[in-house]
Amino acid sequence: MLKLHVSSSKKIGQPDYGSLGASVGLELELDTALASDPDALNGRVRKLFDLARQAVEHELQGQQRNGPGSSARDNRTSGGNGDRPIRYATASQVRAIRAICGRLKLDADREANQRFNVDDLDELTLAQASTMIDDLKSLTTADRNGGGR
Amino acid sequence: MIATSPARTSRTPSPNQRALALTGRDYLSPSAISSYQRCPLQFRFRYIDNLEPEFTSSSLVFGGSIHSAIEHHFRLLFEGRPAPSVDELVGVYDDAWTARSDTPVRLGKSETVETLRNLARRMLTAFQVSELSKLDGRLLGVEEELRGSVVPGCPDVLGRVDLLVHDHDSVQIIDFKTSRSRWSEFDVELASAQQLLYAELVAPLAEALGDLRVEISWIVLTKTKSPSVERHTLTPDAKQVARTKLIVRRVWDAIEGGNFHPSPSAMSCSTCAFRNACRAWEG
Repeated sequence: MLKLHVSSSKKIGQPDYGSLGASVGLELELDTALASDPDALNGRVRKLFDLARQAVEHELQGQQRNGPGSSARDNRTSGGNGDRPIRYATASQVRAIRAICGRLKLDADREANQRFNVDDLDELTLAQASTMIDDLKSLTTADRNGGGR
Repeated sequence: MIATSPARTSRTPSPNQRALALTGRDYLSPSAISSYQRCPLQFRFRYIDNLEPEFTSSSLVFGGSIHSAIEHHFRLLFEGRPAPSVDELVGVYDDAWTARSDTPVRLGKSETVETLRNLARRMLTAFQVSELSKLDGRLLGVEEELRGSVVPGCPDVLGRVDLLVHDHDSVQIIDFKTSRSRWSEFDVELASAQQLLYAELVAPLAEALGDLRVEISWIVLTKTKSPSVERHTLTPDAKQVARTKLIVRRVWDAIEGGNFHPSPSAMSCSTCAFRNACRAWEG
């Protein structure tokens, strides 16, 4: 049995000399046969590192949203990275994405996850939701009529 | 024997909590504010005593139903679907009229439900062929609910924005209105208070999108033989915003102070849905 262990950590500065940090360690057991295939092994390592990095980013985003100094979740705004506040998708955008995905027989949350690495539509930012609506509209035949823009 | 009692803390209720205790809502809406400005006693009947209005004016039901049809139009566009036909829009108007007719509808002298429906069809047709039914820019919201603290010491402001659109340099708040005649600059000025409050709520969103300018506009459909569809735009300036906030502050102080009295006016009283309650009011 081959054991693969990767870890990732990140710390970001906050106002008033504070900081936010997150780290994660992942361990995976692999078939020993993979040791004789360096390309495949490297591929698995890279994938595991990507997963670890994404988990850290995700955790940090969550801390930033819920941490002190951020606006109430109800206002759908949060602290951001210090430049501009993050503004979450409007209720209308979320409704529109669900409606378009419904017509295209797509799972809206899964689509959002695949495109923007978020758990569900509610975590999309305003800009991400706009982009996703544009992309989805281009998939619909109705878009040929030029509506909505 | 030692007696214990639960620890107590004294805390001044927040403006939202005070609004909740007073009106059953933990916020102020722009329509509640303008209701108070129109007649403080009418505000009390509607928002504090929760009296049922004796009737609903046809203009209110008509405007709301046209509004529903236009909302439907933009919701379809938002979802990447083709614009609806005029017949479909009139169908939405009919449904909305029925839904709003729980309270008796008071029609005007020369009005019938059918003449109003014909007028609605003309207006919705004019809207459909107008360039204003095809917006430039990205839709961010249709009937989007916005809430936030706008005036320190006052309850949150909560309102619904008809349309929220953004292009490369601005976020636009668009309100649809029906009117007996074309709007003048004075009409824009009169209507601006509500939109200026919305502009304050939209400002953080515009900032998040890249410090965009906030613009407010009205799309006015006239209830005339040949309806017109026109857009009026205003870029809020700091002085107007400060004045609007001051008015909200004064109105809230007056509401909290229990300052409710009739405000007789030939124009408002003739269409007031609380006339009997007003006559019976003894202070």
